[in-house]
Amino acid sequence: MAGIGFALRDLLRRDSLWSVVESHLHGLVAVAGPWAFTIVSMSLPTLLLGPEHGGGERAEFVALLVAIFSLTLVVTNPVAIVLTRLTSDLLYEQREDRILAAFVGAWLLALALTMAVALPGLSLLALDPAARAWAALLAGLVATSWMLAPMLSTLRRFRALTAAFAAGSAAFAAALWWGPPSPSLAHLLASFALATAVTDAAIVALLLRAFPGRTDGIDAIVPALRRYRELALGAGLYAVGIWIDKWWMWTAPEHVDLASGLRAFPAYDASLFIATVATVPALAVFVVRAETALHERCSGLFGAIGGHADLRTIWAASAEIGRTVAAAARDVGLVLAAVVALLVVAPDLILDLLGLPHADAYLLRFCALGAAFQAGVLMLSVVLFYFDARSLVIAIHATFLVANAVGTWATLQLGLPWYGVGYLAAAMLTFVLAWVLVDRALRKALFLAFVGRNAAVRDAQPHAPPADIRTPCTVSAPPPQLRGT
Amino acid sequence: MSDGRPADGAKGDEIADVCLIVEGAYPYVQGGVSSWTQDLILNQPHLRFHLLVIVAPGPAPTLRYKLPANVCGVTHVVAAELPRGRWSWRVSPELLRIIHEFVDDLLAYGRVDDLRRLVLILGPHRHALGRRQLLDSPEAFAAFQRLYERACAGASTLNAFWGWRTLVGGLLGALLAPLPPARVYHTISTGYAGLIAARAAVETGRPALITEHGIYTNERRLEILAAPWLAVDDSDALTIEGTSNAVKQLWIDAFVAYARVCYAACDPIITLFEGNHPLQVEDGADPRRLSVIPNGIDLRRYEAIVRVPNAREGGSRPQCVALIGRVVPIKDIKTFLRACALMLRQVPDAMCYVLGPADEDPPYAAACHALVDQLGIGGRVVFTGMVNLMEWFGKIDVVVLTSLSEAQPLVILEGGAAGVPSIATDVGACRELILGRSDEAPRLGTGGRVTPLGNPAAIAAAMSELLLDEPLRQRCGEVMRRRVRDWYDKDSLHRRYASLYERLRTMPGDDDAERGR
Repeated sequence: MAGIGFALRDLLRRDSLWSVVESHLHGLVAVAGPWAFTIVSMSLPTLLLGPEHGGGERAEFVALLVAIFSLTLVVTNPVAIVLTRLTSDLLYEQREDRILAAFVGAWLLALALTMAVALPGLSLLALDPAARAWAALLAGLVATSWMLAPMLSTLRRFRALTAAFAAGSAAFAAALWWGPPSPSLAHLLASFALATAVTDAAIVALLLRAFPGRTDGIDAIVPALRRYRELALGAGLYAVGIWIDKWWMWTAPEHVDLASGLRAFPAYDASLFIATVATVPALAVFVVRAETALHERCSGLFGAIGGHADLRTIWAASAEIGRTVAAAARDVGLVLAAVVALLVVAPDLILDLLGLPHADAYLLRFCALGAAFQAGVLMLSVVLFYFDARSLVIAIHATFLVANAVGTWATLQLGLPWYGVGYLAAAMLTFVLAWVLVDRALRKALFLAFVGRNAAVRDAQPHAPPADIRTPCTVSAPPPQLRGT
Repeated sequence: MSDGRPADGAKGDEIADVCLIVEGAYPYVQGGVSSWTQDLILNQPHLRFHLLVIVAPGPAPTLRYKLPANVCGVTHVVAAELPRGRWSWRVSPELLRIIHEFVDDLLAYGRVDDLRRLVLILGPHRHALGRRQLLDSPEAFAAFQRLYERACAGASTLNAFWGWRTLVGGLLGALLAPLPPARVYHTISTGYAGLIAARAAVETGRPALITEHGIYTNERRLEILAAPWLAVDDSDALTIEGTSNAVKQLWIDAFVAYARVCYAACDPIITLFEGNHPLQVEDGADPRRLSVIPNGIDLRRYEAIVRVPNAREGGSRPQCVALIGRVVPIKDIKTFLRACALMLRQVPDAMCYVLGPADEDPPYAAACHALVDQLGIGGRVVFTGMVNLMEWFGKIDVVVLTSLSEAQPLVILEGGAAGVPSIATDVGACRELILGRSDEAPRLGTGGRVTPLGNPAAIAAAMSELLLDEPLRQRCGEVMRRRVRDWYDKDSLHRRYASLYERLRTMPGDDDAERGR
């Protein structure tokens, strides 16, 4: 669903310096709105209240927030990706009036799954009842955010979208500013829940306006999950893959035990968050420029095939896709390289800005390089989705999950100087695999379009012939004129 | 009996004498070819038949005929369909390339040598190969692209792709299909049935023969040329320098190639009437192998019909002409009705009948009734629906057939046996039924009139001529009666098949493997 990408590209093409900045800024929100919102929110207590107030409560708050984010993403991502596909199908079939019902169904399912995991999990933590209640509410709201994330790209009202996230952050800032100077964990959680609720509500309002419609058929997500189980599996693997190194690292000797019973490795968590945020501009470029171009080229190829074009025209359309991917790799690669280079060459500058210790610089370098490759994997997976190569995407995410788990475990054995190398190695390995698979897919684009990914060919069931008949055979004597021949 | 096998009560698992290969007909579809097949089997009660039936994809068909006691088994093959192929079976790209080269050559030239090589290559892998390897692999797609450049450059890739898949799938499906063992393989058409017969001859060394009713390639040619789903490239054909539709040509060439292979492997090549010979020769049949065994009728049954005199002969019934056939467009009933209107101006007391079911194409039947009203001949034209013809031939003066296409219409023979002359359009075997075959000696003369297609004036003139000239009508009726007796007696025709089967059945197989090389 490159809908918002096209709207942003229109903005980009207005040919002014501001339109370039604005389009990429909105692209950033569209790509990583929930992430960016959370990271901004995590920094707000320190920025607004000063580092000297409520350090222990803030650490608990950040650890709880990270735990809620990881848990809800793993639980809801399979549903979210299937909702993305279902919405895309409904848009293609021009049945926009069913999108709202599809969303509501998916959201209820995601909420149920989240609560099924969050409530028992929170009961294990040493939290006061108010904090536990706010944490449970927050889990539900974050799960809602994950379900709204795929809808963001369908909403072409990018300014309103950015405003929704800004309003959430402003609400959080206001709650902190007018709250007590040393807020309790419950207060921090309540403030963040309020902020998330404001953002979610604003996006839901945009959604209702964009897709007013019927509310029957909310169970559409159930058959869609069956139909697109490969997508759901891939999304599940992806979500676990991007968190498994953090979970492992919470077992490192350097981890911090919090009063609630949660664990954290602030240096690793912060480095990886910073590195991930650093890749967002490149992802924004991908959405605004590359994905829109890729969408057009793929539409061109399938349009040529469906329009009964001759083979040469189809070959030319196919070659255009290759050229577009190469150009996208160049554009996105340049942005990624520039941002990552800044983190690798001058990590101290960033750490100073965020008030983190310089000793973590090496971690930031590894994480920045790893996040760059991981962003590359994500973008290459999107390219593979255009060829409907679901099994290849599953293979990529499964590879990353296993490599990240094994690599992080290995680096944990090797000790502190190696932390982050496992993640980097896993991301590099997966990137190489994804690159090879995309390269093969591009070379075989026509074969995939006509045969490999053609549902009419792939899903065609051979018709079984009727059962053969055997009968007892009775023959008579041959006619006289044939006897003796 | 030359092989000493028991004459009675033979077990069903013994090798069949004749494997009859039928496509889209007997025993699941009613019609002329199916009736002929049933008749053939029933009249060779001393032979064991095994049916290899090519069926359309879909639900299991229903038997429309009671299988005769001498049918030992029915093997089904789904048309143009390959098995999936073993998932674990990896064929070397080189082998796939070679297979597709031979397939490509076979589609282009229809040489039996290419068929033989394909049979040899595919043979050892028959149980593992399938669609997965032969159609869905990158090597197969490369083969499609080569074929596209050779035969379809510039045409719709989509249509060429699906055409290629269907044709190659059908070709390879025919070569991978189960083949019942038999002493003789007899196909009743070219196409996929003919391909299987050719494969059987090449693979087993046993003789194969073909009896063609209509010319299969011709029928496919007409279908393909009219196919709306292949019309996307047709616009060029309307320009002065434009080429014909390459994808349609691919389809037609493929069916011609299948026919060539079939004709090369079959001896004799039998048809129902001489008119088919030029078309068969054009599609590669060796003229020396051609022969005619027409459809016959039960003479005694029709000769027993007693004629009821008409008004001109002193009787009480009016003179009448009858079109015997279904009320469907291919019978061109509307031309018959227009001819009747013209004829009634000359013979106003005559009655015109359409004897046949009208429920197959209700809109067409309704249009025919409307035309009757429009022509103002409602009182002289009667649509009877299905009737017992035995009760009618005695009261018919002239049988009329205005069909746009026919093979060998039995109504002309049935009417002829009852002494009724015919007027028919110049399609199928009508000319030789009415005017006599080229080898008819002594010449018997004319049994009616042959007219051009869709020409009401010519048909009306012929009807008026026969109705107004009673001696001429009687002479024509007598000619028809004698011709049917001499050439179209069912019993003698079945004896010809019996002799032919006997000769082929007892042929040594090994020598036959060389045929067609």
